[in-house]
This record gives sequence, C-alpha cells and structure tokens, in this order.
Amino acid sequence: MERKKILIVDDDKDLLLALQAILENGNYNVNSATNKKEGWELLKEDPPDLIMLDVMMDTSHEGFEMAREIKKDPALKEIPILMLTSISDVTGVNFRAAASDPNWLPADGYLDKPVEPEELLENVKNLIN
Amino acid sequence: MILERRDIRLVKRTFWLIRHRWFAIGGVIAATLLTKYVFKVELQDLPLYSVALLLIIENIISLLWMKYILKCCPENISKTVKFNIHFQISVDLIALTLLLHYAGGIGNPMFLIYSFHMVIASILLSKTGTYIQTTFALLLFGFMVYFEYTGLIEHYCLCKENYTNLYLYLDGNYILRTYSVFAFASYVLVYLASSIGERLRNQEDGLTKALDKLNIQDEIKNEYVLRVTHDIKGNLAAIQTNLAVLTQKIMGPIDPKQEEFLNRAYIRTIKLTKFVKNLLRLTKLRLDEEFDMELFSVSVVIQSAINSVQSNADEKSINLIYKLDDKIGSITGNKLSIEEIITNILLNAVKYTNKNGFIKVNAEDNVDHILIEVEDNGLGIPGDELSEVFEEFYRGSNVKNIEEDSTGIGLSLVKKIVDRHHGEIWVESELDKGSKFCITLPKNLPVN
Repeated sequence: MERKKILIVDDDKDLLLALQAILENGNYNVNSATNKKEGWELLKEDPPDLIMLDVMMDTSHEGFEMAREIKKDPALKEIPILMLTSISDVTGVNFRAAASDPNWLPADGYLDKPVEPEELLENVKNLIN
Repeated sequence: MILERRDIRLVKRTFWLIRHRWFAIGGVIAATLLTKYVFKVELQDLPLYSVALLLIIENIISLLWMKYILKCCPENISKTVKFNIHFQISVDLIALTLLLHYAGGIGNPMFLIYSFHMVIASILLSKTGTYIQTTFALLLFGFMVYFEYTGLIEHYCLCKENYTNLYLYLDGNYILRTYSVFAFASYVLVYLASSIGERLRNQEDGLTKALDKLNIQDEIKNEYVLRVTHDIKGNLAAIQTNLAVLTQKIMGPIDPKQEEFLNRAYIRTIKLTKFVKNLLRLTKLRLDEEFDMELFSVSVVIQSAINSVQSNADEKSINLIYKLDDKIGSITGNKLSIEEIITNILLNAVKYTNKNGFIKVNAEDNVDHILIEVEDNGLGIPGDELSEVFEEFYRGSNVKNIEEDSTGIGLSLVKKIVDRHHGEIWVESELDKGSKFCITLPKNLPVN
C-alpha cells in the first residue's frame, strides 16, 4: 500500500524533526516547512493527505490564518488539518470544542503540545481515514 | 484622528447643553401660557414667543455647528467647541435679558436664572471665560434695568389688579440694593463653582490618564504572558517529543543502561511541563478579571469528570462509587474549569488511595448552592497540615516520599477557581483513614 503523505508546518525545527521521526516510523511520508510561505509552496507542489499546523509561528495566529486559507481553496479544502498548539492555557480558548466549528476554527483536529507519540499517531490515523 | 478623552467629555457636555435647551424653550412657552391663561396676568406674549423662537434658532445653529466641527476639523476641537459654548451662553443671556425685559424687568425675581448660565459656564469654560460671561450677564441686566429706570426703553409690567409693587423699576434705592447684592453673589458663585469645576476637571484628567496607562500595561502583560508561555512550553515540548522518540525506540533499540537515564530525563520533562502549565494557569487566573461564564448542568460535568478518571481507578482496583442527586440543576460558571477541578480532586483521590480502596462522589442540591463531596479511604492528611492544603506548593509530608509526581499547585488552582465562582472548598481528613473534599458552588452568581 502506498504511504500516506503528511505536511507539517511548525517554526520549531527540533520539534519538527522529532514529529517527523515519529510519523515516518508510523509509515507516513513527511514533508515539513517552518513557516506559512514555505508551507504553501509545498502544499501546491505536492498536496498531502494531512496537514499539521502550529498556531503561533511568526505571528501569534499564523497557523489559524493558514488553516482558513486552505479551507477556502477549492483544490485543498478537503485535506484534513490537525492543529498543534501550546497556547491554549493562556488564550483560554477551548480549541478542542472549537475544532468542530468550521466557522470558528477551520481545523479537523486539535492537539496540545507536547503530544505523546501514541496519541499523535492515533489522531493522524483517524483523520486520514 | 482620535479625540482625547478630555475633548470627548467637552463635546458630550456641549451636546448635553443643547439637549437641555429644548426643555428651557418648552419652559418659556409653558410659563407664558400659564401666566396669561391660568394666573390671568397681562403680559407681552408675542415678544415672549419671539424670544422662544430666537432660542430655537440658536439651538439649531449650535447643533449644526457642533456636527460640522466634529466632521470637518477635529484637530483643534477644544478651542472650536469652546467658541461654540461661548456663542450659546451669550445668546442665552441676551434671550434671558429680553425675556426679563418683556416680563417685568427687575420686578420679576426670574433674574436669578442668570445664575444657571454662570454655573454652566463654570463647568464648561475656563475661569477667564466664566468671568467674561458673568460680567456680560451683569452688564446686560444692568443696562436693561438702568434704561427702564431712566425711561430710555419702555417698561412692561406683569400686571394684575391686586399687585402692589408695580413701580419697583423706578425705585432707585431698591434697584441699587438688589443689583449690587446680585452682582456680588454672582461673582462669589462663579468663583466657587469654577474653582470646584477646575479641580474636578483636573482630577478627571488624572484618573483618565491613569486608566489609559493601566490599559496599556494590561495589554503588555497579556502579550508577555502569551509569549512566555509559548516560549517555555515550546522548548519543553521539543525536548519531551525528542526524548519520546528515543525512549520509545522509534529510531531503533538503545543500550538498557542509557535507556534508564533517558527515561529519567523524559519523566522529569513531563513533570516539568505539567508544572509550568499549572503555574501559568494560576498566574493567568490571578491576573485576569475576565472569566467566561455559561449555564451548564453540574451532573453532566461531574459525570464527565468521573468517566475521565475511571480507567485510573480501575488500574488500582479502586471502587469508584457515585451518587448524584436527581434534583441537581444548572449553575452559571466556567464549565471547563469546574470539570477540571472535579477531575483534579478525583485524580488526587486515586493517587493517594491504596489498591482495592474506594472513592465516593456525592452531589446534592441545597436550595441556593450545590454541594459536591469526594471522599476516599486513602492516606489522609496530617492534622496540623490541613490549613495549608490549598496553599501554593504545599505537598503532604506523608506523601512526599511516595509520590514524586506532585507539584503542589493543583489544589491551589482548584481553590482559585472555586473562589472565582464565589464558592467554598474545605477538606476533612484523618491520617491513614482518608480524606473528604467538599465544594459548594452558588446557583446564582452574585453580580461582580
């Protein structure tokens, strides 16, 4: 069976490498970018089966912006988005509940950093299928 | 162009003046009608209505002028608005003098109405501006009285058969006494009112500045907390995930001796992440005024908390029993936080209860509040430490050696959240017998 492709956009390279290792070990092909611009290029070049987005990158809501833009693009809107964030404690926003509301947060899943390998793989598997 | 608060206040008060003038105009018309038709006093009603018309025109001009100022040139607004106020007060004073002239001159005690304008000027204008308007009022009044006295202009009386003092306007002695007392009283009034007015204006400015400063600081603080959280947690997340790759042998097998050290580092990172998370939440709770409130069912929240710890209890074969009163309704509060504190207390109970022990959850509706109790037959808390349980960084002396995973923040966070809901929390405990945590949450949150 062909390996599914995942694109991760996160500005933390160290975290990116670890996530990549976990996902590749789970039999996925992983592409990564460290900002929105780079992410878009990869996205257009080779649309993945899942996109993982960090929320706070160059700006405090770059990930949200990118998710909204992806969901507006007819060619890309069907690709599931998994948001990763470490700011839910401060913003007080219930991302998990909001993730199901397409008008509010156009993401299909949400995980709080740091995430355990097992939990990550399970979420990825559920979203891709 | 953003107006300063001081200017906004001045503009608002000017519009207030314009609004109130409509009542004054109504008053002039009503008083004329009343005097003529109810009190049957002869008076010059046509000139009086004309003055009312003059006031209407003045008010419309002032209103349009103010709108124009706001639209065209907000740069020097305080100056132009004050010019508008000077216009309004001056026209008012002329109108009042005309009214007095046509309604009995100095014989009519209505001349005291000049004081209203003096007080309004003290509130809206500078001290100098106020004294200028007061002097203008006294000059108008003085000339009117003097001209009537000398016969340069006609005197119109408010006449009725049984009136006796129809010739006050010719009584030089009376005029002199009345006028000088009125002039003296006017200047004293203006001195007092404008001194107080100025002091209040300065105080208001000081408070406004302090408020602006606080708002800016609040924004900086929130941005700071957000950044710090992101940076600390971001670094920890990277460390923890990288360690997970190694300890879970994702990159292949590792030496058992090395694994032991890596595992220790991994566990401590998890602990540190949890600690930082709680610490940040505590800081946020302490700093923040806002707390999103919603109406939710307490039973549902308790049930959900129980479900989330069930597997932890099962692992230790702890019997988790619960009894939720059917009558328990909904309360207003922060649902997520309430679920979090119940889960927290339940997890503590699981942690400090031995295998095959029990945990009982009881919730009941007590008219104005809801009582939630979580009881266990675990390790208990030493009697002399009961008062410190909810303090930050408290860890029971009897559990320090057994349980390394505790940060001592969980219960203080629980207490903070209960406090924010105006509820109460307390604990009853006996060493080696168990503990009972009780929480009450009011059904109707007091406003503020």
